[in-house]
Amino acid sequence: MKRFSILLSILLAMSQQAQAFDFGLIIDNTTTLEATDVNNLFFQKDKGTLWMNFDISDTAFFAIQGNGTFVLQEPYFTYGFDQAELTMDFPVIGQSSFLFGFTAGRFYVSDFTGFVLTHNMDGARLVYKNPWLNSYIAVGFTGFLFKADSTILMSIEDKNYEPSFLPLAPPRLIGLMEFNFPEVFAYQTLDISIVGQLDMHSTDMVKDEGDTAWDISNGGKIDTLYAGIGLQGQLAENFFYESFFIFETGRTLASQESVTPGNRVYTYVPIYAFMGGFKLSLFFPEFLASELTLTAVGSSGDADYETYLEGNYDDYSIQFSPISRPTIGLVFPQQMTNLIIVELEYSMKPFSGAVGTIWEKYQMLFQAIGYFRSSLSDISNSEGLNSGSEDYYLGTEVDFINNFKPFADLGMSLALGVFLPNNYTEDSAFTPDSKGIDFTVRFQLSFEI
Amino acid sequence: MIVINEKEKCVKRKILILSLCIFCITLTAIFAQSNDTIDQLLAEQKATYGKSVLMVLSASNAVPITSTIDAAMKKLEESKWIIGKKAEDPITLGELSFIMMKAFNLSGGVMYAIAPGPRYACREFEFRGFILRNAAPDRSVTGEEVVQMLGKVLSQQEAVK
Repeated sequence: MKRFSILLSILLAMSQQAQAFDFGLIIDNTTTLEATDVNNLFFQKDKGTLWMNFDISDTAFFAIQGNGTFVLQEPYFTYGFDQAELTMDFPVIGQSSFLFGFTAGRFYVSDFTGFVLTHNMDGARLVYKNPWLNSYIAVGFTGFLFKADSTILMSIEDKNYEPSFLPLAPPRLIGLMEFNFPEVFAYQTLDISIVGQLDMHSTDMVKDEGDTAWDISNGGKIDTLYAGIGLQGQLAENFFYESFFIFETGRTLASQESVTPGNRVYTYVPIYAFMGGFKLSLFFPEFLASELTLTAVGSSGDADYETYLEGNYDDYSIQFSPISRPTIGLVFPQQMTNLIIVELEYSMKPFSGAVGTIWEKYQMLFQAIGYFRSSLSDISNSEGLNSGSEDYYLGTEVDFINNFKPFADLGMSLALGVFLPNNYTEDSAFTPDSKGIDFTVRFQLSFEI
Repeated sequence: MIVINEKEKCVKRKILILSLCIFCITLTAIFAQSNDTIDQLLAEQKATYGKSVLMVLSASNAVPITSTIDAAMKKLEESKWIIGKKAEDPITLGELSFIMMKAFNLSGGVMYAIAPGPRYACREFEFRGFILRNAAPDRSVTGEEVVQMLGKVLSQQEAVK
């Protein structure tokens, strides 16, 4: 409480000194009803986010944001700091205008796809922008974030990690370089990205190289490097595309045949994995401001894995492991590991003609997502998966989502989804007994004071 | 009689031509005055109340297009939207948004309905896409921003019609 009072006093003093100051409190309520053949789950989460922005000068800014989350059913309360960053911009305006910027503190980073890294970290970032190039280099550490605010899950130790003093996120040192060349040729935009992460877990907590005792409850370290390239642009009037390819390399702990026949030994092996995808978007601005989108994304998987995180027993790994793990899908949430998705989406604003009214902001969205696995091993959410199956097709999810933001400070969303698993025979990806049709209804309400 | 009619026609034609000339001269003067105000406003690194309020109130027909800064400030005082400001005072983003909300009779969000003022007017303008950068209500605005914001409001008003 004392620390909080001191922090509040500092922030109040800063607000007096700042050229401009703004703050807000966002209250989010999420109510979810999940119905599966195993159980029904009613889940309610309330989240409060307090943010403050200080303009210290024309070129220096400080932003801080914290949150508290209460879950009714457990019940539990968590809190954390999402952002505490000092940004300094140095624009140079002349014959060759450019902007040089610097950020330090806790800030949000993302690679251009959002599939490899979308996370907060503590560190520093250098930005350079000119009319032909937007670029930045960032270095940061994730071990001071709270685990509840983190989606980093790359190893078994990440899953097990529970420091006794505070519930902190897995410690990883992350470096990121992003280069965006807007309309570099024929109105096509090129993205180049290099992301790397070093596992900073204590060696005492992970399995050592040379160990022979097979133990899937613990694993080793995983260090990775990702090189990505993307191209996006316009193909015809109202017709756009995005495409990307990411190559991952690094090392992971594997259990290989030892020189003694019949025995196995833990050894670090190289990773050669990849992810690729494309998105085609067709806009119909005259017809209810609608949009038709086809997305396909695939990440490589490795059949020689015991679990989707670790347990490789080959000379190398081809399992793609993103650093952070945004989930895809409402009813059948999956992460982009050993997974291929094909998504068809159609969105429209039925009252787009009612310009200036609150109904103009109402949006309807239909989407169908087909899930396939890349190899015959586990996916991130393998509940009910038939281990003996040789089917790649996992099932299809169909969602109907309604988004409505009538006012600046009020927004709501109602999503209804159903997952139809591939459970038609005993040899399917799911057996008829292991998984039935799942339903999810989610209502979200957001209000800002 | 015929001669008189022709004389009348001639006089009427002269009056019409004279009226057109006067109208054109007046219109030119109005545009010149308006252009002068815009030019002066565009040159301001920290937009002042006088010119900003004159632009907003004349665009919303709250004051005539021929009005002066003093008349616009008087109108602002009378409206009691914002009080105690002088023409040469710098205007903040929140105050400018609030004056525009009131002048164009725009509706706001839930919090604006509960506590109408610069803070929530600014949020509404950010939501509507009228503010292109940093939406802190108490930051100063440039003259260029005032003209841009006014342009966006007028475009939306036109679209609604």
